[in-house]
Amino acid sequence: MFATLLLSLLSIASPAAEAAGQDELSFSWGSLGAPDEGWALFSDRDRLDSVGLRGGYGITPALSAVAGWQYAFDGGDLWTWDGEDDGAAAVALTTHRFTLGPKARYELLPWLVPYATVQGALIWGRARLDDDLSDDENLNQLRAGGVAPGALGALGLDLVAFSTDRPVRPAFGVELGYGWVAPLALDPLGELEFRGFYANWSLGARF
Amino acid sequence: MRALILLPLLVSACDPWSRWPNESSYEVDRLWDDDVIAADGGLYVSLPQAGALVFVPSAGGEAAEVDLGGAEPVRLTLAPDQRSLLVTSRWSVCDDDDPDIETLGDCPEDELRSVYALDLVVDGALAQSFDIPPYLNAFSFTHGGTKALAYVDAESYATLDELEDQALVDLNAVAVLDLEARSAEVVSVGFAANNFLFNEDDSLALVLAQSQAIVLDLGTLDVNVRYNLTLDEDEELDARAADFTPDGRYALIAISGSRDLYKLDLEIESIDILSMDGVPSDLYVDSATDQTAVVYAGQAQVDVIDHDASFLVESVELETPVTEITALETGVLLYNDANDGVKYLYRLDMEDLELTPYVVTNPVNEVMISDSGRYALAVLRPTQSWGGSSADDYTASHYGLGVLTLDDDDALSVTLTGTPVGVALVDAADTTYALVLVEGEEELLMLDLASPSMLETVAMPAPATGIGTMPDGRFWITHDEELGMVSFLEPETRALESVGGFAAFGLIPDDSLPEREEM
Repeated sequence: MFATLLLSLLSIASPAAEAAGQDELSFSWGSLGAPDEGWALFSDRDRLDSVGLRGGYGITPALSAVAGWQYAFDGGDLWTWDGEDDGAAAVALTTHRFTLGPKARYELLPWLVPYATVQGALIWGRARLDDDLSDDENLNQLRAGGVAPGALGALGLDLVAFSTDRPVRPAFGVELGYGWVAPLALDPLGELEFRGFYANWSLGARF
Repeated sequence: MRALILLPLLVSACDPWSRWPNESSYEVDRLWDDDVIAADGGLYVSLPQAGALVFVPSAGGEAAEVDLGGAEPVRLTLAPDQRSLLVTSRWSVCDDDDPDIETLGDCPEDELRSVYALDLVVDGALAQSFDIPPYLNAFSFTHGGTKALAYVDAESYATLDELEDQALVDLNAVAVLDLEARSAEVVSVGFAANNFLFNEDDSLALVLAQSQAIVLDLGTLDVNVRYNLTLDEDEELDARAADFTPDGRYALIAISGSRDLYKLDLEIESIDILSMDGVPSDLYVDSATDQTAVVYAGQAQVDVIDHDASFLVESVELETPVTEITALETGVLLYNDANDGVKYLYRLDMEDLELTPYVVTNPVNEVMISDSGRYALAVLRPTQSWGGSSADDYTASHYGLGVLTLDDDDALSVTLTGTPVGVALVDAADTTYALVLVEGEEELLMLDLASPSMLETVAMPAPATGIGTMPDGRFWITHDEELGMVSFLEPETRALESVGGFAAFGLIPDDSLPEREEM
């Protein structure tokens, strides 16, 4: 949310980018490593998959500020077994990841633009549990939320279609790197840690 | 375009409760143990999956985890003061000094071991830790409740992990805990000691070990006297029941499978053996009359031993054998919980040995006495599965309640259509209520024992699994809810307050090495 706000402010306060085609807006999807043992409560995979939006504002021809928001919704069934009977509860974890940082690029060809980026991140997570979905008044509709800072660094490649004189050009990007987030405290459930391989794909426009 | 930038804000705000993902399946053992401990001010609940202990306050407020320094509670025992909880705690230590080892998973398996301590938790907070052998898993408290003897429960030798975790096990040892001075000392008394009696001023303990009875001075921790109950030291004598006479001079010990009742004289240091008519199954020392009542599973009689008259035995004949004795305000209630053919209970006046029989419809499972002493409630068990069409068949195939009015000879049995999972008694201004939880039901049954057919119900938020009494007179009820739920019932007003969600504490596994130091 902070990143979104900052991006909005940048777009209002800054003069038009000197280098046309350096601004961007994309739909993005990706993943971040989730090696934490506790992550199995919410997902059978070992990564946090997410979708979101990403925007960039060209400060110079080679440097822009990028901000992103990624959303993930994970969870399923929690089964308990006491040796005689089993029971179940529904669990869910919603995460919003906000990122902001510089993106340095080098236009190798008009349609091929490698880049490097380092971004600060903020993850807001909210876990929910419910052991009786049929009862809207169930006392055990639990929520636990927390915020954790982090960072990620990546190398990427933008593929930009059409000639540079068009005001809006479709683009596809991919970036790979490493991400780390401080333990996300979901009191009183415990903590979750996200770190490891980071990948992100984007499809959008450069203008 | 700026509208697009606002999209994250909109999605952030939009997260309806009704949406649930269905992509994962996570299996764990039961999150909470509904065998709760009712203490002054709230309930202690063990969370085996999280390895945590939670205190749920009964006066409202949020449940809170008891900080055991990363240790998990293995066993909980409440002291008689209702405030002090003895917790056998266990945690893992890694003997590998590698500074990179931060989690249990990092530690090589052969360098990982379990260590134990006995923690004293008072009012929801860790107050003291004692270093005693962890296999001392049972506690016997003095009358005043300020001291306790820790010993190995005789039933647990085959199942107690703590016995296997130790390099050396001393089965002669008991630990003497002083809960006021917060100290503990281990003393060697006798092999497999597992039954303890305390004299009236708690200065002496009579320790019943295999084939021996030992008098232990609780001040000096010296063994004063050692009685050999048999000439063969390998012979195992299992004390079925034991008690001191009111003057503290004699200890009476009934041995399983033996007709002999041992009378230990603590003043002259001698043993008399009273040969009874059968194998005693229970005995009770009545302080008011200075007599002891003895009953037999195989003998339809109760013997009353007069301590003042040279231990003269007087027999009172019964219709049926009984196995258990429960104290009443005046006298005792006798019943049989082992024989499906016995449907009699008896009230015996210990003054004049007058016997009042009561007949119920089914055999007795357990008996409770109201605080007022006016009623006894017997939980009755079925003796057959449903198969007949008569009223007798119907009654015999269901659980029931037998209501005994103790100030006359009235007994009335009522039938329960479900299986009772918990029964408790509460005295009101002019009557006594029985609170009955039936398996799977979301209603609590309240029976006025003055007219047991009149049924009142209290709605509960979920089916119950257990009920008990709080020290403040209210009732606790545990519910069959995965994420934990208990209720506190005020019997006078029927007000029910429920607390849930505490079983989710520590649900996300924590693999970090506990920081707690080994004692």
